[in-house]
Amino acid sequence: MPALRTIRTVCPRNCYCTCGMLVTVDEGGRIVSIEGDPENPATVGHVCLKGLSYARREAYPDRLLTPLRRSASGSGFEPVGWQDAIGEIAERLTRVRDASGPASVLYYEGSGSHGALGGLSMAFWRQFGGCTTTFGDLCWPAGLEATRLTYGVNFHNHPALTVQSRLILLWGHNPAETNVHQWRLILDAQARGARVIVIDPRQTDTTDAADMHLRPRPGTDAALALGLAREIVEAGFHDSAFLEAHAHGFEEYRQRLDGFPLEHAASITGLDPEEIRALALAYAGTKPALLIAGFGLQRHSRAGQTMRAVALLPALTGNVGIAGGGWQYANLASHCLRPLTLPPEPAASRAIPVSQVARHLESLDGPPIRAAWIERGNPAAQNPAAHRLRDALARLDTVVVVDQFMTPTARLAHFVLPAKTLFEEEDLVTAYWHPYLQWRAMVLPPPGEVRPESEIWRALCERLGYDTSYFPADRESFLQALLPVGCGFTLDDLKSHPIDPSANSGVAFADRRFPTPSGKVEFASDEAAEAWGVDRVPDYAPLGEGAASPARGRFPLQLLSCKTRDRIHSQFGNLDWVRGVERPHVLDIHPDDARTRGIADGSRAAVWNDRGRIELTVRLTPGIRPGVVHVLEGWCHDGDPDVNVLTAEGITDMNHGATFYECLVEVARA
Amino acid sequence: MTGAGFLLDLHRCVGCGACVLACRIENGRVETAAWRRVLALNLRRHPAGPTYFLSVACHHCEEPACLKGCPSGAYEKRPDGIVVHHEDLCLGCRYCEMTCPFATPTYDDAKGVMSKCHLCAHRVDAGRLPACVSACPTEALRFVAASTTGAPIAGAAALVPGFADPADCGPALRFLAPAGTRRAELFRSLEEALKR
Amino acid sequence: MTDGAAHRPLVAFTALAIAGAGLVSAAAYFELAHGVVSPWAVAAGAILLAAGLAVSLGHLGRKWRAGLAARGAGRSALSNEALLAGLALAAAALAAGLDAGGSHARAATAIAGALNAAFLVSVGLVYSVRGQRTWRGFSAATPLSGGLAFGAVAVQTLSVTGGVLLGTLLFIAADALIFSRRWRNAAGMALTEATLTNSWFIHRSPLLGARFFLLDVIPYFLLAVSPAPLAVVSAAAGLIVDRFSFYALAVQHTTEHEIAEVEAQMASIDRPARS
Repeated sequence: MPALRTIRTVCPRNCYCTCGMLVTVDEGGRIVSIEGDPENPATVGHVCLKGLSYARREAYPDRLLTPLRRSASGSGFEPVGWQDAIGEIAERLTRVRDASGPASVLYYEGSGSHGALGGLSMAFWRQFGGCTTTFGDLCWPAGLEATRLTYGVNFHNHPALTVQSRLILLWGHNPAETNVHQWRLILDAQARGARVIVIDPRQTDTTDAADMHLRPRPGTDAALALGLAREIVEAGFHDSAFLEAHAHGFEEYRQRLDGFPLEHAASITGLDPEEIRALALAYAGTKPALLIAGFGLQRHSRAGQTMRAVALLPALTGNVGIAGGGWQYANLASHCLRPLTLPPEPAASRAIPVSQVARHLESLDGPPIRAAWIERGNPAAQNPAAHRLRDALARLDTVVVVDQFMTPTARLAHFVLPAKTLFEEEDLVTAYWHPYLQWRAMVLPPPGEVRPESEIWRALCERLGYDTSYFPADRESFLQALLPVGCGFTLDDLKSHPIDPSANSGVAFADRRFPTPSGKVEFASDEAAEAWGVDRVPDYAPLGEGAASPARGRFPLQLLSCKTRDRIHSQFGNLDWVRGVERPHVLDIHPDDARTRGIADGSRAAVWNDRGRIELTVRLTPGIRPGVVHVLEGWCHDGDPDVNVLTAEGITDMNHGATFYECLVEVARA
Repeated sequence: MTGAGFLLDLHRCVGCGACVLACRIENGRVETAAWRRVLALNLRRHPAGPTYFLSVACHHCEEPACLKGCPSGAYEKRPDGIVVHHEDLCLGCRYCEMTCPFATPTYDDAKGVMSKCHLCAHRVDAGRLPACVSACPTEALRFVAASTTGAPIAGAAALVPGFADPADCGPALRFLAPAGTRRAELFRSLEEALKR
Repeated sequence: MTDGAAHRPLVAFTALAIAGAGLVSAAAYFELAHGVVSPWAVAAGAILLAAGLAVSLGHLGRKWRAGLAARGAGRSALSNEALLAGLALAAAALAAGLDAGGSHARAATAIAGALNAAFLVSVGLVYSVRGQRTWRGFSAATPLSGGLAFGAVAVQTLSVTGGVLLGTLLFIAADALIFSRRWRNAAGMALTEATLTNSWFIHRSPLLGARFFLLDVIPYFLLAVSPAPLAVVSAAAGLIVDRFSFYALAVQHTTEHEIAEVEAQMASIDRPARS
């Protein structure tokens, strides 16, 4: 009977849950069980289907185990030893740098794997002389900034307090798919009598279970939020005492509300005035009420102002700083680690917006980009204008990709280096939903020729004679040193249970102290206007490419490309275990929209706009709002990437985010 | 004596398939067919009915068709109701595959024998829950232990739209109806419509 | 249900076994009722039955365990069938052996006939399972009726001189009647997502029609016009099509099918669509 070891670790994916995990392996290195860590008070004893699929992913037949070099014929790859790979890569990168400057090399780092050691890449690049990196984020930055401007900081209540809510309003959020632990807590609250209300243009697993569901036009949520606020104030259901003590700029905000009477909000959003009113009275009339906003709500160019408008509703109704209440978007309480010690940033470094990589690859100058290193990401599939990004990458002198599998991005590389999994290197992992810092253990040695990225960087530094002292001699002591000074806990503590470094009660803003310029909740913000050039008070403006724009004459349908629980973006979707349980990949279109285009259920349809064209199978879906179509993002198998050939390289009104959901298309029989 | 079985809360099941993967890990079903599957009812969300998910494996029936028809007696119903398959008595004739009205037993080409969910009898005997039940992230899938009192579970139904028992095998699977204001109403009216 | 490849040995096994047992039973009937002795039919029947049983081993995942098949006798229809197959073959072989040895025994033929008829009934019972939507009802009788019809056509054509015996026509008519019920049941099943998972299902009418014509109509008319060995060929072809279509048109009840039926009914419920 082989001896079994059970090790506590954490899933480092770009995901709310950041589950604590207990992994059991046998002597032969086979994973015999994956369970949730009962010591994580938020994820308790469960992981999700993706966490379970690690048992298959770890030794998946397609997993890359050796460095690969593109073969001389140009198609396909051949295995190459690390020494040769590092040597050739070093030679090619320095050649490009010497000819065109360090900024002619792009270092692109995605969100595919979280951990403090990821920052070690800069130990190389800064000694290299600098490089071009990206700034901004494809996902959530507008909402982060909106929350920071409004409340001063991105903290929210401990997830376990969800069960104390009497009303839970989910806005642009689909936790039944994207945060299953939160969903369990919402179901528990509902079982105790809480009402669940969802605002989403689609019907989803979340809306199925709701007590009330509103389907506004995508991109009109700011009008809805301001309309709701006006109803609440008109009815006298705002919390005057709270506002008196803790609101800054309320009068200015109140005047803005005058512009959003019920009929106006209804006509912009495409909702029924009565349902807006019912929502306003329900939300304002129930306490404690929890408002959870998803990232989908802010994937367009008016993101920041929209999120400010929505984020103010809990303050308006006095649902701030109470258990079971609050504004919930992102919780950065666990982000406490000290920065890595790195070489100084060279002057030659520059950064490009992450939502505009394709156009910068195509046309950036002074110097143009001639080489790229891509790790922990799959931009050729996942970024806006993916096909242009793909074509631009294919024209580069040298592309190096580090990944576990041959993704669409990896296929374009000159060198593909095999990446580690979460089980193969220690690290510290923060979260953005629960407040726990967690230890990621070394469960199994890397198989084959696989090396963690930190070792790849060290090897490159050695090859070029750089200082390698920035890299860990011993990971545990290296990571121990990243714990905040005087935090009161050690690595050994973390190995036995997750730790909340904020040491607060679990109720954000319980003390009603808001680290904003005014010390209060900012209904009007000078900083917003100065930093981002937006109105001091949240406002509504139609999207450039949205429900009210002239482009609808040619492209009348709004395309959403939302998340599925079957993947984290483009990860997990290649695994046979996941493909056996995944939802079908279809274009969801309302039967009325399909009928006028002569499109039958199950047939192939073309979806296109000025940026690109794709084809896929149609599902007639009465549950989606007419005028809106939907394809899941993250699908990149069976051929080329799809939905992102249609998305635009827009930027959000604040904090340099992407605009994936601001996308008009037309659909026709293929 | 009421045999052991599963209870599925149709309100909480989101059709994720974690149960399927947990079973794969526990029972070594890496490249062979899974013993559990998750089916969607009305995934396109037609307004005439609710949307929910059925996670099904073996129903450990009162009068299993597999056991009745097996020529070599490879099936056994334990005193606690769990129906187990003994690989060493299996001919691989695949008759059970044809007679089970739920398409439960699966054939392993490489080994030439059948196999199916055994309610993680090895875990149940050790006082633990089946792997699928432990893994369910929304706690929708539950284990109901064998009971001598035979008292039914409050609010649990044996049949729901989408799950029938055409061969009178008496499956041990029970359901809690889906909730949520609109879905509960649609569920009730669908049940009514199907009765007509 | 099972994938198509699993069917081929079963089609061959049941076609051969039903043909063989039908021959033996028909031979016994013709001897007892009309005094027509046809030892070749008993021998041929025994050989076909033996061949069928050999092929049936090819269907088993673990052929060397075939001996376990009789353990479930009394409870399992399949076990009963296995047992009866053995007895039917033994009796037919004995009767054929006696014939070959020159000492034809009427009793041996009669017993062999009875056992082979019982075997044909047991084959029908194996497939009379409520979990299969197309195998219920009258399809349980078709191995007996089809086997006897085939056997009667063969013996009539190759052994009987001086006119077509009423018994032959009655066997064919009985099979036609019983089979037409099966055809009607299958044709009456709606083309739903569930039944269409079986790619042959849309061709059910031509398939079942072919079986009907080959095993019943053509032999009937050939016998009426001019008894000829062609009738046996047609009947044999009909038996093969019968077995092929039996498995090819199988529609098992599954929870997937149940859901598809509910969704189809939902789609037809008159509800105003949400705006």
